Amino acid sequence: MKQNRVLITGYGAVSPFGIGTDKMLAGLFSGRSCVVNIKEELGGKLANGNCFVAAPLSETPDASQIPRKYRRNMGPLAEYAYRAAADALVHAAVPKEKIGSAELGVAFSSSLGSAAALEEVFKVYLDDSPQAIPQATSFFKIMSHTCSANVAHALGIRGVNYSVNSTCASSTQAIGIGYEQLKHGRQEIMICGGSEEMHPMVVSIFDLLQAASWKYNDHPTQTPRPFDSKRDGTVCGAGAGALILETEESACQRGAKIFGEIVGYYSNLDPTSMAQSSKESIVLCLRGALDDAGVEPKQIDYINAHATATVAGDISEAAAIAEVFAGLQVPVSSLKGHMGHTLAASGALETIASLEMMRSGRLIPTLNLEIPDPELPALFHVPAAGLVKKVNHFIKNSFAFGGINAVLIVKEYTK
Amino acid sequence: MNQEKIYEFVVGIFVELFELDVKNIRPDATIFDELGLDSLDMVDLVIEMQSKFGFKIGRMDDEEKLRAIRTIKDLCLLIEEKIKSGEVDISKIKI
Repeated sequence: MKQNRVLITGYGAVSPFGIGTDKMLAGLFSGRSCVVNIKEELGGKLANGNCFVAAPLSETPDASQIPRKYRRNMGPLAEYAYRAAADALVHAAVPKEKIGSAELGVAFSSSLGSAAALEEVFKVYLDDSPQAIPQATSFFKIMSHTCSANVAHALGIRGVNYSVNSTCASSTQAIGIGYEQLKHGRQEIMICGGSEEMHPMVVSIFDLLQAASWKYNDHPTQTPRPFDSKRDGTVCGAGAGALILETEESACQRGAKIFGEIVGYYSNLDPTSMAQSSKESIVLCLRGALDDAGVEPKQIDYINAHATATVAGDISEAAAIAEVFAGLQVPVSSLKGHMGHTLAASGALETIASLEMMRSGRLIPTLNLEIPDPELPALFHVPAAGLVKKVNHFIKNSFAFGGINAVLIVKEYTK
Repeated sequence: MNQEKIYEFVVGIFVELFELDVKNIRPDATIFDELGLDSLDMVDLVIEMQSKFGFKIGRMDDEEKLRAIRTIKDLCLLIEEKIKSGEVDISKIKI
């Protein structure tokens, strides 16, 4: 059976650094942190927790630009998703007639539906007065596929539509699903990505699970600290990332600019813990992706780690990388120190950043990694000053609550 | 509450809730075709009316009456009918 090659022909981002991929990449390459103390803003809603740091959006997309017909169905995260997806289509210069065709689909993700909209519904729901009725469109904001549905409606997309809701692995899985759709010839173009809005409920839950950083409330830019000996948990962030995936045939036919080729994807689940993935399951996932790509570990030039700076999560990932890439000096870094953990958006945003690292040959170091935790297996961390290196293949790791693992392998495109 | 006041109230809802330009709203403007509303907007319209007037729109007779509404004027007449029938306590109207 013929299998298509799957290329990346565009992307769009809304990140804690602001709107647009340029702002995100400039922030990442300059080593800035977006983490701030949110106690004043959200303290009252953080349920007696310990964590008061987050990486919210520094600017929000202007929702008034979205026609009311579509906007009325969107919570904040769907608005971000729409903006990232619309920008990605422009970046990829996808022709208008293609956008409305049956050959273009969507795989978009979020951890939940809009928590802000859910909060509004419950405010009304818990009000006993007979006039207390939520808006008719509330459900379209809180349903789990709010991003994939809203992106498709607002952009007039008629192809396949998948929603992935696997929290922190969501957008990496969405990209993986898009890759499989194109590889097997079911679609020509896919918009893939994920979105996350900042809500105190999410921060509180991470705090409750002891997964959130709390020792750096007074020095927010010093956390999270992936792989560092003084890491104490992650920091929740907001954003949306979208990538345009396209078959080689379609991309070449229309002379599209090509940013990379997805050559491998694998996803699995570790049933031993709902809270985190084991080293063994991550090893299987990494090897699954390498098998899918048909490449050896020695061919991997860079690993963009999930590394959220939780104590246990970083241990599992570091141990798995050390086992699969034993004896090899593969540079590793995490972008969580800059942008916090943008959860469902993280896989897409960090893949976009990794594409730029591959293009420029400049690897971004892990912000706040000062002294690697001696309890972790030794990895070749990208030095604090950065690293100039030719990258032919990179890996993007994402792991999620529920024990879900997802790994992508992206290659520099050559005909 | 006279017809003029009811019309003003309805126009206010359409401007605020549906972001319509007041210039496009006339008594004979058709709600779906000219003003561009759809069935979801009608649900929100009913909720808003219930909230502001304090009456309950039931499922049977009222639903048929709602389906028959084509223009702004039709809507105003329905509200007027509800007021005349005593379902609405004018002193509690939240306008």
